[in-house]
Amino acid sequence: MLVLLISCVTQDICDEDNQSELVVKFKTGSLTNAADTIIADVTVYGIREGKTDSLLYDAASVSRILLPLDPGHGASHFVCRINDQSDTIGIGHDNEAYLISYTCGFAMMFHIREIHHTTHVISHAEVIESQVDAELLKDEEHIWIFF
Amino acid sequence: MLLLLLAQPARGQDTLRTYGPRIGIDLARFGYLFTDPRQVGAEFSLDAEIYPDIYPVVEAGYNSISGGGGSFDYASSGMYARLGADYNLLPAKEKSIHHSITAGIRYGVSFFSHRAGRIVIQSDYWGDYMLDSYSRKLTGHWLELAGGVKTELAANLFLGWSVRYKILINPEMDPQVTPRLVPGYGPGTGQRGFGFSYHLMYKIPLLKK
Repeated sequence: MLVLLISCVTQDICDEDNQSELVVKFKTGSLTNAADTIIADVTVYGIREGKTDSLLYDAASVSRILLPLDPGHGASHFVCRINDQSDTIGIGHDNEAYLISYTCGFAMMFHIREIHHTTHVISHAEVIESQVDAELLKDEEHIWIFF
Repeated sequence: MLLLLLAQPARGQDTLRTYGPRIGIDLARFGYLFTDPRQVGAEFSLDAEIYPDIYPVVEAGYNSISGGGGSFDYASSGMYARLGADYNLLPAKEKSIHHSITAGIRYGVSFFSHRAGRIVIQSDYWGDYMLDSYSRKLTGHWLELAGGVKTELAANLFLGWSVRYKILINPEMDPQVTPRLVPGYGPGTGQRGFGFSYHLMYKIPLLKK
């Protein structure tokens, strides 16, 4: 009896992003007549319990920002400061862990329920795509913020 | 084919055939000890030539894997069964020879559970989040095309092998966590797969004609 065993050993390396980020696009106009805009001097940071503020954007000129959502809570809060005026943005979300791959492990799928904000600089906000996962597609946009 | 060449015609003086159910075990499952020690498996089979050259088959077994995850704990285990039939392509030149070259089909179903623990959701900004555990009870369905050889080494004792091409019918059985192992099928991460079985079978000689 001849038994031939062939085995292969491969080195698994994760080359996928495993952190989900919300894409916020800056707009002018209205939902039915929206235009892209670049906002200057944008500073953004998250409100983190028990932690010091850490800037996500520091006086940047941007047309969109990427915001990491809090995987441990059902809401994430950010402060957006533009030209010395600040707005607070609150995003309510449901969280659902999912497996990216056995090499890369788990990531969080966020389902955006609602968005609240103050109106010092921001006019209004709309949820365009409610599902946020770790696979960020080109031109993917989740929220439009109007000025 | 090698088995057929090595095997001597069984009971050349006896031109009568015996009929009865064949029970068997899959020796290839013991190969996990060498190829993938994380897996444990056992499989039994039952077939019988109820019509000339046609063998309805039932295969059933248990399969488990533990430690299949990379950065997290993972385990999957459960029972499975396959139902189908083989057709003997080898024309019998002598009635007493029971060797066979078969082609067949199977429908497989697996009832299993899988679970993950020590799950970490990474977040550079908010801090990593540890998830308690994740578990689901699942049912997997698949089809197989099987081809193989069996030869009668001694009276009513058969040895043979088969290769199988597998098609998973419901790869989305768990959209959140694709099973590392669907017992009886293989990795749930692939919608197509191959399998190999090495059969040791004994035929219970109920009839002789």
